[in-house]
Amino acid sequence: MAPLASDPLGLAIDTTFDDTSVAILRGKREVLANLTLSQFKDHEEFGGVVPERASRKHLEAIQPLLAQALTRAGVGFGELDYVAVSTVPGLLGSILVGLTVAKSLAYLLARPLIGINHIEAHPYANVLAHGELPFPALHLVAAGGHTLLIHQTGHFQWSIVGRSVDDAAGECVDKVAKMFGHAMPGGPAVDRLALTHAPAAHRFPRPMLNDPGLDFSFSGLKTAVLYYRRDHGGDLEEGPVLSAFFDAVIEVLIVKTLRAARRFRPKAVTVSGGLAASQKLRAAFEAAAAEAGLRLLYPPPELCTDNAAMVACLAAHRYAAGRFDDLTLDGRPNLLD
Amino acid sequence: MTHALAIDTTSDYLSLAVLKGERPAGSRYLPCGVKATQIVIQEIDGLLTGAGLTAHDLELIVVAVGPGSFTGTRIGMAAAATFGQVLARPVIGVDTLQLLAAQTEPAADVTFHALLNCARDEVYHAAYRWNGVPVALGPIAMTTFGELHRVVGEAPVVARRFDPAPANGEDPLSRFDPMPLRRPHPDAELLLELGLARYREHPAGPFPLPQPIYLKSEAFRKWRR
Amino acid sequence: MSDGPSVTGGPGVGGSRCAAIELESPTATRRAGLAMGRTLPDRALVLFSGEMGSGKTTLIKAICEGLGIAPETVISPTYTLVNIYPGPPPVYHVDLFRIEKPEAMLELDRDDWINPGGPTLIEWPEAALPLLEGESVLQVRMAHAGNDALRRTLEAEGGAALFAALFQALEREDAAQE
Repeated sequence: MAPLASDPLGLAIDTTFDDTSVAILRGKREVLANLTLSQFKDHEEFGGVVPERASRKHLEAIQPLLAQALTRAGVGFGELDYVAVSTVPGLLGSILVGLTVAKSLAYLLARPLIGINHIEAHPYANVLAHGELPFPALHLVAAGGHTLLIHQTGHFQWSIVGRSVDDAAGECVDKVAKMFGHAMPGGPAVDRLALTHAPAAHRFPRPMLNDPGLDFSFSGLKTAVLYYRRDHGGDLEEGPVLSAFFDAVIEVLIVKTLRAARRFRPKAVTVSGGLAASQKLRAAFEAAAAEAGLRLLYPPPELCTDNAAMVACLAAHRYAAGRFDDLTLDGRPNLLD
Repeated sequence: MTHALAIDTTSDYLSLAVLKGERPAGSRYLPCGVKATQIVIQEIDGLLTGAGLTAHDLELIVVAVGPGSFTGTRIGMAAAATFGQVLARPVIGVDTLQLLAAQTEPAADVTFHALLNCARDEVYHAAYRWNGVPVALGPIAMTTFGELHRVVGEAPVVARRFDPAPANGEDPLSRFDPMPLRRPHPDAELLLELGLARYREHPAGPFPLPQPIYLKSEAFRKWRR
Repeated sequence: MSDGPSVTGGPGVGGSRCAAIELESPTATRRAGLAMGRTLPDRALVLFSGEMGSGKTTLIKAICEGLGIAPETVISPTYTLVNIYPGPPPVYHVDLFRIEKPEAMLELDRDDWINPGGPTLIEWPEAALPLLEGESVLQVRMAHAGNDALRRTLEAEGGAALFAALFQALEREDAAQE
């Protein structure tokens, strides 16, 4: 193997969930391209090769996205120093498409292959935005099907110290939004309403708040909103109700995160994942972190949702450490086995 | 001189073949289940090395585009498309029914059918005549065994199933008239033959990236009725 | 209930059977789930219906626990579509809430969402019904019972012979509650 490049050019692919994402990164932080299929509203941008814009169409989307990413970054395949891909967690059939493309690239270009845990990569959106993380760090990852508290003592050294035992927070928000007639994903709509409406007087339950552990539960909160809505029927104003509901979600996330911070005494607390794009959540977290004297980091909204740039960023750290995978790398649907 | 690679991961087998200067230079036909992703690249590497080639010598990639296992089909096609993209070489797609049909070589006036039973009562089928390669008489359709009898009648067939035959009761595929086979498996050497034939018809292209064949409409048509 | 999922096709030998029990609390729901998990046949396909908050999460966690899965690992598959809990036997936990058009199911292989080596539990199964025609499934419907915030009814319907042990277990649960 050739000696490691000091300012490596990396390519990362993520097909773990609905979106197909490709990113090209220079060094550890310079994003040269960060494309997701759902960004492309106009098929013309795709250079005539038009995959149907639908979820889980990774095979049809990935080659045009690769070509587009190279063009945006102004580089060729031959200049890449490594190829990274998310291999866990997600729908196995989807993961394997990205994984096979990444292996083929690594093989054809004779470059290292780096398999990445998509969840581990989420906090690295903060590295892109703010620079290297101080360790130990505590991460709240609120993404797709997961709500997790992660304690990280160094690169590649992390453990899950708290997690949702039923629905993820973002899922709870999406499902409550859908109850009120908002399209999935409903997070942005709830955030907007919560910012512009004072919460209703009704206090929704804060599940597991008084449980001394660091796990979350959101299924019961969703049910509480359902009952409240059913019992109040037509004369319900959605803004104040959703605002009160969102306050409950945010309070649970903050209280548990602060509890974990007291236990692990991190040098920084990060918030990432789709829900971290919420303005109301950010404001509340900022206030709480300031009061507790914690350093809080969250990425810009475009790096909160699933993207391959964060995957590339973690991969760049793996490259620097010389930690590569071989071509028998496999995908795994579950985060925890 | 043509160096070419054929990849088929549409079934439970990983099937690969390499052509070196017009001559078969090695093949693989390995049972692998869902592990195709794990072994496909290493097997390709072993095959190319054994043939004294590198990937960069390849001038043509041939890939099976289904119907078959969706995940399997995507794995082979993802690999083939990436090879085509990086090497800037054409990728030719061949469907799995033509591949089945190529296992036999009947007289030119015989109409025969290729049948592929992927799951339970779902059968993909297409009718062929032989003219150097099997030439399809119509598009691939998906149907049930009941309806298949009406379509196929007494015509001879080449048949394959992915799932094991039903443990109790007769294999519905055995009710059709099987044809003598010139090759025991619909392997990647046959795939190479078909891809090469297609390539030689229009060696100047164009070569649009092949698309996977997903036919599962029958269950949904029935549902809507 | 007429709005639950229905799959045409035979229940298999012995015809179909239906059981309905009232569950007075989440504890009772959990006990019923444990009993169901312990008596679920090898490769059972179980379809769950019932509105949000009707107790599906509690029931499914308990069914998984009855099958030997640690209940805290049983989380919502709404975003992942399929959670696979390693057994033995492995359990597939599927949620098709986000699949809006049944056609989207065509992108998946059967083995992606129907467990070839153990039971499959499917929430919001509507999108998959066309692909389950002819399968012998157990349909489980959860509903609120009256205005009591805690009471639920559980209805189970499926092949009498295939699910004989499960129906017996539910009968015992019903008797134990009264």
